[in-house]
Amino acid sequence: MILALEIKKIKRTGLFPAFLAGALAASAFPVINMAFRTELFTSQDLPPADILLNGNWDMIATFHCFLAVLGACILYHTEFANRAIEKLHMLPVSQGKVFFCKNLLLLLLFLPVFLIETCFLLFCARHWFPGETLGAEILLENMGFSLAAILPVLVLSTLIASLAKNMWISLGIGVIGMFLGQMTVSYDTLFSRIYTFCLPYCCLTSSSRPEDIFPILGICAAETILLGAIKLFLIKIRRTPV
Amino acid sequence: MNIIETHNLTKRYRDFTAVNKLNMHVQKGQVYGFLGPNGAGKSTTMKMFLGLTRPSSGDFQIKGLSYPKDRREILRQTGAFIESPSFYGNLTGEENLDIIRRILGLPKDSIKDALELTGLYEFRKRLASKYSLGMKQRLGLAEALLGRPPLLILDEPTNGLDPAGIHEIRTLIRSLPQKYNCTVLVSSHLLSEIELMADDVGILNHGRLLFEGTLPELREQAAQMGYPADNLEDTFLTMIQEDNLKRGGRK
Repeated sequence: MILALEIKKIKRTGLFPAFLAGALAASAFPVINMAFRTELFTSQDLPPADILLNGNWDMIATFHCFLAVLGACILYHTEFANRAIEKLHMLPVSQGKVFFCKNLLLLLLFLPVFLIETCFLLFCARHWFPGETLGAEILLENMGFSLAAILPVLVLSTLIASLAKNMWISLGIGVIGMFLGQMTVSYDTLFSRIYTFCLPYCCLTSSSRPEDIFPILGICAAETILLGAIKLFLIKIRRTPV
Repeated sequence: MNIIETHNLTKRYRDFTAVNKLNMHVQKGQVYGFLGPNGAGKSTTMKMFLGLTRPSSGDFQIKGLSYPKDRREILRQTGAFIESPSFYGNLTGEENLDIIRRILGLPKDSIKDALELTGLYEFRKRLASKYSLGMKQRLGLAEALLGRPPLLILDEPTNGLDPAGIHEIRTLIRSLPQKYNCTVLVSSHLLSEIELMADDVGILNHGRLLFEGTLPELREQAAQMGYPADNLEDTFLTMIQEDNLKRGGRK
């Protein structure tokens, strides 16, 4: 029921168009990249899906992080803008449920985003690597993996957005967090392995081994649970909306 | 029978006491006017009833339900309007009420009922962000009235309304106990307003309840204490000034 209400609440907020635009922008990147640097990519001796993911995933992941931050900001801005959240606090509804449904809604919005991107990647594989195995299976597996990797980013972004009345504060914190992730992701440090905004930069290719993948999934699960628990704790100790 | 009862209810913010050992009694089926100057602690008390802020000490009961144990049930049975209207600007008036209706599990026709009651029915399809200040105020009232709850907590509900609107809302509040068998706790800093709609009055100053009773009882007490009793506005002001003097403040 709460999820249905959350869907109703985002009417006319521009959240759907924002996610569609984000998905198209992220999907267009590999197409443009392939079109302008065809030789660089087609000369590599790797499966097409791996070449495409290795060459484009960093930029796509940046789009994902930005969409997560933006989505969370829009969701909570509608709550804070005309003090609607205060009315919500006067109703017999669990604030924890509202928070988790907002995350679920964002996760559901990411499904078509990943689907559109996978379709564009498949198009690239088919167009620039004719006659080779498309790698649809690995792209679909990567889609599932990316959904898991974006989850802690969603929960963190929503947590930040729920704590700041002013949307620009949460957007600013989110963007700084996102750029910090982008800057540190290429370094092999403990921070870059566990930092929430670095997780979406991991992708699943045919050369990925289970011993590489499972720790990342474990970190995603742990951070999601930890951030969710922090929100529940804050709800418990802070009665007023902000 | 009292629908609201507080026992030494206190709210402290560090070195400032907003509500000080408040013992108030709101009778069922009455309009209780909660009166006090700005910053007297009226809104804080109402916020405590709704669980928006925690009491520092003391407790209260609403319909025999206690806080924090029965907070959800208290909220289910209470319609509230605190300080200024809260709504989703991106939704229409009708859609805003539908969100609340679904949370409360009310029938669909309760929306029409609340919109008609507050005179918003013809503007139901308009975005709430496009409403005038008075219409937003009415939307806030419609949200509180949705499903005709047994208890209504209204914090200065006529703020921002024009004289005709004030009269209309005042008449509506006055009629609610008879029409829907509900109890209304309404706050204001204007005795002239409370005088026209309340059965019982509670006067609050600096978090302390100076008087609780009916309007004739207020007049009687004022006469006994030598305050002007023929004009209740003067009675109220003198009472507040005397209390401020006793507290060592300026007159």
